[in-house]
Amino acid sequence: MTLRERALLARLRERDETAFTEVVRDYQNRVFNLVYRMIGSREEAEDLAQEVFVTVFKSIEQFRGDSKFSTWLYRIAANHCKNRIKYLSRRHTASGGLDGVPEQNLADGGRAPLSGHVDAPDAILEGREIEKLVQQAIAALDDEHRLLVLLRDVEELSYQEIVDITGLNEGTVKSRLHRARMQIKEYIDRHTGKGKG
Amino acid sequence: MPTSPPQPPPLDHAQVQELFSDFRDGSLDPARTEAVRTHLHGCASCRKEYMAFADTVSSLMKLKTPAPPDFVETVQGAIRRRSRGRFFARKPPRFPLELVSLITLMIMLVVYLFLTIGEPKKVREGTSPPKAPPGAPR
Repeated sequence: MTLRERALLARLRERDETAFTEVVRDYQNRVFNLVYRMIGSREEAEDLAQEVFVTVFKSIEQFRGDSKFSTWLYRIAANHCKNRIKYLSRRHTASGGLDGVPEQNLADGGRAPLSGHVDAPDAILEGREIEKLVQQAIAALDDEHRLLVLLRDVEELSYQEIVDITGLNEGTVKSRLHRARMQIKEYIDRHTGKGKG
Repeated sequence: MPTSPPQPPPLDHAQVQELFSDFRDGSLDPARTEAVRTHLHGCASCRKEYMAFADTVSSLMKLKTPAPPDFVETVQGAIRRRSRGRFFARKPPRFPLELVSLITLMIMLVVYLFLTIGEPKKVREGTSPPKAPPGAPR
């Protein structure tokens, strides 16, 4: 844990409201994004992301600080996602994919967060189509593989962090991640007519 | 005469494709990295597959959906509601047990020292010749 994290943790344990606000501000996008991609419904994701933070605050006394705070938070988020998926599947309301056309980047004016330039309209359209396909491909994965892809490729965590979050060993993480990436690639190939035949 | 390190055997298509993830993540050892690079250089089919694979991973990295704008307030509201406003309430000041223990110990030490050091003095001050045993001549 960094010094900043230690200081923040001490304030959280004192139930300092500004510290809690700081945590939500710092992690809201990452948690929301993970939960949204795992669950596939924006409405469910809003509710679940909220639950994640409530759990974090309620259990802050149990966080011993032997891992990074973000790792602990992601672990809580991952567990919540698994439980919610089970619950939704029992209620038969789980949908097969993310709801609607991706609303990614609508909040920032349609600019891709990782791109440093303004795309031409055709490129934006094509980009959104690809993004939609990628989302569908992620939704088609099973929960375990989806989580690994999201943690590694969407959240861009290190293998060690993923090991700490999931409790899997590094070899398992790597082989499952590879399988998941290949499945996504094959899905995209099939739906763009680039498949091998 | 120095000999170059033994080269690993060339990889076939399936082996190369199994290593796409590690190759992209840069987690292969130098010899394997070179073996994959050599294969991709000479194999148009695997090169095409790898390009599509790398594009897929790049597309994943662009999937960022921000939380709703009022998310922070929503979470704060949920915590307040569920704890009936008590969660963020200041904890009552903690009774300083350590300080009280320390002061008590110090007082006990002072009393002990006073008793043990003061006692012989009192004895000395009140010293009188030992009483003669009964029946002894006065």
